[in-house]
Amino acid sequence: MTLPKEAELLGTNSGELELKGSGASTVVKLSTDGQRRVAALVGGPSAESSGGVYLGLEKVRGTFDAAVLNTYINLPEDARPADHRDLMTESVGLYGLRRASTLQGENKSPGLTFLLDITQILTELLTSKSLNSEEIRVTIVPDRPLPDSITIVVGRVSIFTTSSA
Amino acid sequence: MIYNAEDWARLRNAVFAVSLVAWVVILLEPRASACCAVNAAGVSWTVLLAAHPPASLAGNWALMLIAMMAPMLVAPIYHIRISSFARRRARSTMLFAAGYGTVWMVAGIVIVAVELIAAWRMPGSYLPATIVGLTAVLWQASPFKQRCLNRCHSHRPLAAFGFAADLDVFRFGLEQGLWCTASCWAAMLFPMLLPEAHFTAMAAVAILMFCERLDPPREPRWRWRGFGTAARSLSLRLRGPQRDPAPLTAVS
Repeated sequence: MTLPKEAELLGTNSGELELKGSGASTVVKLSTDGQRRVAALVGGPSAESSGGVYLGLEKVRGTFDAAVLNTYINLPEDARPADHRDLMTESVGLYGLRRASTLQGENKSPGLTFLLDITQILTELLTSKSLNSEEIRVTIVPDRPLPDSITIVVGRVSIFTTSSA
Repeated sequence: MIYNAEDWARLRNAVFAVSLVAWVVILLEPRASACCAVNAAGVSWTVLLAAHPPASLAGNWALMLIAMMAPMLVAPIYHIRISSFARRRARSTMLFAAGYGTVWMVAGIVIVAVELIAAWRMPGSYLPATIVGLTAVLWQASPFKQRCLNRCHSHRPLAAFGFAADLDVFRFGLEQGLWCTASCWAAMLFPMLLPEAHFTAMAAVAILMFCERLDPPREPRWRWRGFGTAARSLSLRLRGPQRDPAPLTAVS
């Protein structure tokens, strides 16, 4: 078994992302080195040695535990998510969100953090040349529309990579 | 974001080494420590200030901070490292240290002033140290202390690009410094007011402050705190690996 080496940040969005109703989108801007590392997933000189690429949803906060968030990579604006299942990465359940969002609770810091493996989908998008190498659009869609009074906040959306030891 | 035990260990060892160097300097030259530097027996306030110029006091205070506080910064520095682009890590860490140090240096003006006044008005007396020691014990058990400790555990998302990233890590340093100062002010003041045994008191306070950061955040309320997690961890290490329970066997 190979253990992941040190993780490295490739890019982030510009601030907090508020999810209301049927979700929201943000753009993750990649650093110069991040663009090179992502491009190396397909046929680059270090393609074999590169590890996974992960989407990070950091410090997700809110008071609505009963939601499941579906995340999409490169979903076109105004497109129906149901028509682009191939662009969906993974789903995350927000069980424990309310408790994790309490500042003085038992949690080390407010919010939940999720890491989703997007290696496969990025590789496919790069192979089909349908991915902008500088920016990656990330769309987060609840499986059911959130009630009007509910807002879920994602502290930061980021993309990481690890290389195999 | 992605925890790596080896990376954590490397950072921890580097930070501990910095702290150790500061401790060695204090041990070899006790007057280099702020808490050991003031001797005011039988001198006037003017002479006292002349004998302890502000630059010297500030340098000594900074050395004391590095020795005592550095081990508590492993977690926030690791958070910065894994939240920043690789090329920005050193710069972000320096900006964080600058923010954190700024708060403690400002607090040091008050703390060192109290030390000077106590040494001037009651040279060689244990009364100031006793009063502050009792206050520190009360503060240690109070819910207000727990609120500060909980805030010290809070590591918010950081911007990654440009000036926003620099500003964010500096602000993060200010925040950590503020809650750390609020949490530790009484414990830091206590050894500085002791007429003797400064080094032993400093070491004891440093160990207490390090151990209390190992405890997870809790609901703020009155309770004794400080060595819970450290004692459990030490106990597990001393007992060594435990045997697995006997496997279940079928009963015929």
